[in-house]
Amino acid sequence: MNPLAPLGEFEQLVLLAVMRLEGEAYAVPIRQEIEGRTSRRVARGALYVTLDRLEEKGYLKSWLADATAQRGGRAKRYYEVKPAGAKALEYSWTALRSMWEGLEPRRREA
Amino acid sequence: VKPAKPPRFAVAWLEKTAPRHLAESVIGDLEEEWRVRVVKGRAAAALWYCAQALPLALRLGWFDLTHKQHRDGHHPRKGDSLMETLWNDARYGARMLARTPGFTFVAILTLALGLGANAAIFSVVNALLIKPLPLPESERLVSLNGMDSRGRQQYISYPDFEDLRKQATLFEGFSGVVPQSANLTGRPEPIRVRGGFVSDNFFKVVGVDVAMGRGFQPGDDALGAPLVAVLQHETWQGVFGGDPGILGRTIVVNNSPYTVVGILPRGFQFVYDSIEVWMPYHSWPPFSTDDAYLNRANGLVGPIARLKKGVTLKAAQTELDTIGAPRRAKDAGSPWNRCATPWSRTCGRWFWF
Repeated sequence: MNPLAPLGEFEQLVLLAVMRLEGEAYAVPIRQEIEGRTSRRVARGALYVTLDRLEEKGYLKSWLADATAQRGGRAKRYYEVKPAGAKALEYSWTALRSMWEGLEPRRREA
Repeated sequence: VKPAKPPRFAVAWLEKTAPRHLAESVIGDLEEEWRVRVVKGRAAAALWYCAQALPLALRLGWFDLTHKQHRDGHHPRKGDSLMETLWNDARYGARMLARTPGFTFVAILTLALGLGANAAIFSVVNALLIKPLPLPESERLVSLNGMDSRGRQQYISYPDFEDLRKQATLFEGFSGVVPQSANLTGRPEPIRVRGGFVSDNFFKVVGVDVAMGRGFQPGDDALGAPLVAVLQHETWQGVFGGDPGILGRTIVVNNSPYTVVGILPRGFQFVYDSIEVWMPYHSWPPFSTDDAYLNRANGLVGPIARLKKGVTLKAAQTELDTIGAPRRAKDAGSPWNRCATPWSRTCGRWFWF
């Protein structure tokens, strides 16, 4: 049994995007990453809310970088996946994979 | 050149509504994306910014509110009745709204604009489509329009109108109307009034009775017939001071003397610009001064008709199409009676105040 709070689908996408961006993860590229890979629109509001919730669950940590002129003197908030986040992702992946077990032909049909 | 900046009010919305720990990065993120767009055009970029900022501000503002509620431990207690819980929720909501005036302002503005727009649209739809005309059996009242080759509605010519009147069998009455400004003289100060030149059966077709005197009688609209006029109640009161001896008095419209024969009931207004003085059709200058009205290319008449009982719009339209077929074949571009629509659905409606 997983002691961690379960992840929603969008939460998984966000965590994976943060992981892929390796230290360059703030809201703008995270959104681009998800949109580019999944071809689905990501509402800004939903992304910020999800990032904040994941941080509160202890799956992400964030910090403000230095302010830059390109952003009207406003700082970026960078995100990084914490070990608990990676574990929760791993759990979701395992759960999904075990549910698919034996159903591969059906998956290929679809 | 002044350096471009995103719309200040939109930035202020975000600052007010976003959770404090996120506001800095959220606004920075949006500005970063806005800067990519601003090189292509400032106006488009500003619009884009507002379109992004408004829903974002609402979403984050809502998140902040509900989240604070969660963090502050605002949970219904066991044993609370439903009413107590609701009352506590309402008080909590009001406190939160008072604490975040920016979010409250945007939320109320959005609601107000949405409600206002809906109410405005509904009042138009109600007047035009839903509410029946306050006239007897108004569902049988139709306006007829010509339709030119581009599908635009047009008045039809007088000879076409006469043909329709003679040939159409599914209509109880066929009347014509031309709203036209006229000069009212023969008084210390000449004034401009809104005149309605109508066929003598007009009031009968629409189903309105005069309040005083008489309406138009058969023959009143014949060329050479004595000129008579019917006044709006408000015109009688406002222009003629409610003169009790108005009936039989002569007024001068467009330099012609008309005898006032009737007054319409108070509050009756015709859809066209609230007409003030009603006169017979043939006293309209194009009829009395030259033969322009005989030209089939001149769209001069807006016919209003009453369908016979039980006749459907579709049947009426088919008859009009049949009558109009030879005419359309001869001159494809000219207006001809192509469309019969319930009066209330095309040009407006009658108003009683």
